[in-house]
Amino acid sequence: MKLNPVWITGVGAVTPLGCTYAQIAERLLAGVSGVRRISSFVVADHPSQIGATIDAVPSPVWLPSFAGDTNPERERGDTATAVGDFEQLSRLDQATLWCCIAALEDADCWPSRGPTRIGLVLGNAAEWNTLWESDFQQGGKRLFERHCQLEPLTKRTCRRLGLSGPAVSMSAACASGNYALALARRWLQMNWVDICLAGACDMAITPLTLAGFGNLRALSRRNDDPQGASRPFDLDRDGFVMGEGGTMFVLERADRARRRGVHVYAEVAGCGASSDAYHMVIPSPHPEPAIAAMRQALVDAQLNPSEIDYVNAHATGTPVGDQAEALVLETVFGAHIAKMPVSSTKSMSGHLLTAAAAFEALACIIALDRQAIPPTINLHHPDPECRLRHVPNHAHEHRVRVTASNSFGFGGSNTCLILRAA
Amino acid sequence: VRCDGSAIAQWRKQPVWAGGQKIPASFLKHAEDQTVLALMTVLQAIELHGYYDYSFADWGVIAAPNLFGRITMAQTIQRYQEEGAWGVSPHLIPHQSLHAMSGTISQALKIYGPNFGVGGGPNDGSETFLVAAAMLTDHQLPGLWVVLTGYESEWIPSPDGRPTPAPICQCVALALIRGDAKAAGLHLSVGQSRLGLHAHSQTLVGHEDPGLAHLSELHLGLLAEELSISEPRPTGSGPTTPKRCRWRLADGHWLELEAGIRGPEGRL
Repeated sequence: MKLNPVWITGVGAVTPLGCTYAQIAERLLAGVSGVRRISSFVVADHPSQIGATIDAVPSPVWLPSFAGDTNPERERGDTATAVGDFEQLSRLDQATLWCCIAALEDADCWPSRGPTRIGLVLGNAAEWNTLWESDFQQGGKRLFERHCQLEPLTKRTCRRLGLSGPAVSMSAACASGNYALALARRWLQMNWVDICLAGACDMAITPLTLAGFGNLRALSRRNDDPQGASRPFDLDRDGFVMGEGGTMFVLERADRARRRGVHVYAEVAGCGASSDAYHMVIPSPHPEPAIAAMRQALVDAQLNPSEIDYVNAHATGTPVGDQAEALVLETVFGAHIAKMPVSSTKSMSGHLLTAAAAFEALACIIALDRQAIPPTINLHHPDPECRLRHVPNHAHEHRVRVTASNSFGFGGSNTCLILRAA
Repeated sequence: VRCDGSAIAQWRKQPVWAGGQKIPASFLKHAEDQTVLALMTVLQAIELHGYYDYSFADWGVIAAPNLFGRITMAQTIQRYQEEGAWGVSPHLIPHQSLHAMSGTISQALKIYGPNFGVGGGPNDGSETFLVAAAMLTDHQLPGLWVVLTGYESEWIPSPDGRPTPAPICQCVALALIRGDAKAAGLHLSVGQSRLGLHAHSQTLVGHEDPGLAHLSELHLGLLAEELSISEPRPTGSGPTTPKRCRWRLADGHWLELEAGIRGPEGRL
């Protein structure tokens, strides 16, 4: 059965490289790093003291009034009722609202959202942990109080934005965004929703998360050179650099988008997913599951490997992970690997954790839009075990019709998302 | 499975057989309590239905815990205050995040299909069925484990760091496959509203508002065999009254979790 294609018609993002599409595109293609020394809390005793942080989430111009908000969170001091109260919300709430509103506005769906059945699929691994920690840091005691009446982030977001479709939050760690887009596409194909917001948000640069990843020895300790610290595929890489932010997309069926005559960024052409079933943290030494995820995405998109023009690699900058992914790419693409550019935008954005895959889908959209490949910065001595056509340090022009984006995660998740010019 | 904290502590220390392999006791050492119970419940379901030799390699697993990692979070915050960054366990993130439960089950049962966590908030598990139905109708997976966990009452940590007794922890593990719409048992189906269909709908595990569907009600329904996942009822026992939990979707479509013999309402 020929399914109706699903298109991306709106983008909203808050990232270490900017909060508008134009700004993010410009900085990604200019090879700008968003990494710096963390200043929002004391990091002196942390093994890693750097991150791609966001100072402030911009307040949406179209923020709806929260008047009539009878949720118990208001009784706990969340008195946000209008634009001026946006700053009182948690950073995760702010990021999610900004991304959703910006995406809906971008897709020209904001004014008409009331009668439209809009779904929400949001990737986030640690909504409650983030809430408990940030509340405690501010002197709150929510962790020790009854939660049974509290709303999850997805329900809060739907209520605040007046969305009436099904909503779900999900986590496959760093692969969450790809899963979110795949699920949203499925809901659209099944005609469960008219439009679906999908993506991921994660504002996880907090003391406990930084310490947890630091003590796991997963983070770069190049504290004296923040902008040079995230160096995927480089021989001198020593771990990833944490980042934070969010990216949400508006997805809709092609026939609806055509009728509305809106701008189309890309088609969500294929998705593949698998699990290593090997270890919660360490990537499997057996590449077969990750290969299977990529091949599943290619089959789903009805494409041959040679038709992929660019791969946005998961490549976080850990010694083991980058080599394992390079082997997967070599196996899947065969001879085509010599001419197909591969880059890791984490070198600039840091690793946005749960939000990484969604941001990297945006990087692919930018490659499709600008016909240029964003670089892997800090790549001065490519690891000889990573035999890829790198794009070191500078973007270059390239014909891009189809992109693939790999995202792997804790819990053994492997995903691949294929976007195609619509 | 419903159990108290001592049973979970005991299971945590025991090696288990899963996926044709002996898993050492250390496997669950750092796992959250709900993860331990989730794995034990899945293994019990396999045992109960005699699927010892069945390979779940191509299946998927999605898991919906409830306020996952809360007790560990309280302990970690306290240790961070006392010891700084040094006091934070490297196991915090891998084992106390929303995806940890599905990842652990995937690893134990050697499930190579998709695995991820869903929901995580109070009474937030019912959305899992929206995800499950979408995944199964994709025809990519032969089956899907859907695992929901939570506590009978809220387990609230003490602000002074004193241990608080764990309430009864409960888990429902469902092995879902695409199946015959006329078969007896528990059905998850997608349909389109027809006039009069609501007349004989009964709410068992929830309401039309998915936010009101509770794990406890689903669990009790399964225990009472009102939502039966066992053998078809004997011939001649007559059709049972459908018990339904329904989610509204777009264009008059709905997703329904239902027990009993199916009627001729025109499922899709």
